[in-house]
Order: sequence, then structure tokens, then C-alpha cells
Amino acid sequence: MADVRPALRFPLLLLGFLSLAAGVGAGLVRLGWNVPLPAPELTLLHGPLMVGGFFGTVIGLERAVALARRWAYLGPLASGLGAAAAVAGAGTPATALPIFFGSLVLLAASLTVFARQRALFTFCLAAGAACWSAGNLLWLLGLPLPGLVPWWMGFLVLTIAGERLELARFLPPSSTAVRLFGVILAAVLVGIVLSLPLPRPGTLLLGFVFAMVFGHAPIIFPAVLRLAVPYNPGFYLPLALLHASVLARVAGDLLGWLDWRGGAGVLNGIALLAFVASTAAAVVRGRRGAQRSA
Amino acid sequence: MSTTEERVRAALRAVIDPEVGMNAVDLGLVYGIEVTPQRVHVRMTMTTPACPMGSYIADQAREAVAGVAPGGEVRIELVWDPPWDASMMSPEAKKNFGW
Repeated sequence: MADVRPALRFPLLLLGFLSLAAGVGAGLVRLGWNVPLPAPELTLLHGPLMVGGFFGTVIGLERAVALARRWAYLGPLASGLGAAAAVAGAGTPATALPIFFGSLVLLAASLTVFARQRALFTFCLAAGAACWSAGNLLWLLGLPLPGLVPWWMGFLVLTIAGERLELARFLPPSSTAVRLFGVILAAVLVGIVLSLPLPRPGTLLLGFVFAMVFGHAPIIFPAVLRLAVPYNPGFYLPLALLHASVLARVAGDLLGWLDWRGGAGVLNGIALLAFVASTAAAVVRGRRGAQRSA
Repeated sequence: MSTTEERVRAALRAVIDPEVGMNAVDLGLVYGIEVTPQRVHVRMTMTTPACPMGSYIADQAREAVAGVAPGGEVRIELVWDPPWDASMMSPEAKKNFGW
């Protein structure tokens, strides 16, 4: 069998969530909260932990499951271990190198998907992986983190755009819509290459990318871990909290209310925690339900 | 079309793509069903090669087919050629997605 068993995928997901926890903790410290961190330099690695350690690992895992090839799992393994190295206080090179390797594996996996089906949406996914790899290379070369933000955000935005375009095919879009998508894609890529400054990457990450994660998780968990996540209306609570926290954060920024920013940061963290808790609770309920009906 | 093939196809209607809530047959994912006394061979695809649901849906298909072909070998083969496109869906599925 060329695929990896669901039970063996779980540790990879755990590494991703370890990175998320460390990244959120580092973010809170940057907002002025006294959160204990396993390594003080993590405050400098907030972005890499969120983008590479968490998203890179879970997206890499998702792509590996789709491809069902063992080599593709080396991607999330490497980026997850890079994040673990950061948490252990190993410093930037020991973090950046495995994450860069992880991004190259995701790029190879995405190009394999593109070779299976040459379409705009598979191109978009591969372009996203290429952005992450390029950003990681620049990081390894010592470029300051703010200069990498457009590349890393490009990774997430293009990955999500590709996945949405993939779903849009059930009601094929008009040729005008497809052309317009192409123009927007080109504009995004040009913006990334020119490294146009991106204000408030954190709010893009939370308001757009995490909202997608919340919506995607109940469908993707059963595929990756073979654990059912039965729907319940409570799933909307973390989403409402998340958007309230982003709104508070943007309002705090715009109005210069620094206290609001700090409070909104805590609310961000609570929303993410509520998401993890509600998903875990649904998995437990699903298992109990399955045992009862067995 | 043999009765067994019809039963296999009917069983595959219970296999739902969770992302869109539609069954594999109406989505046009089933490319071929071959029934011999020893085994049932289903050739099917996914709506995208980037779909992490692939092996999950294939496992569901295997279970569903095994239910109507007891004792025989069930082989679910995932194929990517030709790539799926929306025109392969049944009229009912197209209507569901707003065609």
C-alpha cells in the first residue's frame, strides 16, 4: 500500500496543532499579554509558526491524503518537525530548513496533481505551494519577515482560491468569470512578486483563512483521520467569536484603542480554542453514536 | 445490463461525496462496472485529483458493493483519465446544482 494509515496521520496533525498553540501564544505575547512560552524567541516566529508550522502542515497533509503517496507525507512531517524545533528553542535555521523542505514536497505534490489534471484550479493550488516555497527560500536567505508576508499570504489565499474554484465547477462559471479569475490571479501574483506591503496580515489570516478552516474541518477530518464530525449548530459559535474578534481588532487598530487590540487578541485565541473544543466534542459524540448504532 | 450490475450501481447511489452532498452515480464518478462470478470491478474517479476524500469515498464504495456481492472479491479502481467534468453529472444532479 502506497498510502499512510489514518492512525499514522494523526501525529502529523498534532504537530500542526502544536505549532498553532505556540503561534497563538507568541501572538498574544506580542499583543502585550504575559503568556508563558517554552522558548522566548518564539515571539519572533509567530508568523512562521502560523503559516508554515500550522497551515503548511495541515495543507501538506490534506494534499498527501489526496495523492495517497507516502513520499507526499514527508512534507507535513518536515514542516511539523520544523515547528517542533522552534518550540524546543532550536532557533531559526533549525526551524526554517525543515519548513522549506516541507514546502518543496508540497510543491512537488501539487505539481503531480496538476499533471493529473491540467486546469486553472490545479494551477492555482500549485502556484500557492510555489509562493510558500519561494517565501521560505527568502526566509532562509535571511530576508526580514515582513518582506516574506506577501509570499506566505499568497500561499494561503491562492490555495483557498484554487479549492473554491474547484468546487465552483459543479455549476461551470461563464468564460467571462474564468477570464476575470485569471486576471485577479495574475494581479495577486504580480503583487506578491513586487512584494507590495500587506497591512494587517493577522486579520487576513484570521478573518479569511481561519474562517475557511472552520468551515472545511467537518468535511476534511473524516477524510484525513476517518473520524466522523457530525454537524451541530454549535459549530457557528467559534465562527461568530472569530469574526467578532477580527472586527474588534480592526476597530481597535483604526481608532487607535490599544486595549481593544489586546482584548481582541485574547478573543481570537478563545475562538480558535472553541473551534478545537467543538470539533473534538463532535468527534467524541460521533464515536458514541456509532457505538450505539453498532 | 445484467441485474447484478444494476444492483451494484444502485448500491453506489448510497455513496455520498460529503463535500457536495450528492451520490457517486449521479455525480458521474462511476466510469465502469464489470461483474464476473468471482469479482466486481468498479472503475471510478473523483471530481478532482486534489480531493483528499478520494480513498474515503473509495472505501465507502467498497463497503456498499460488498453488501450486494457477498463472498465475491470487490475491486474499486480510482482512475483519472478522462478527468471528471461537470457535464458527466446526471440531469438530476445538474438540476440540483442550478444548471
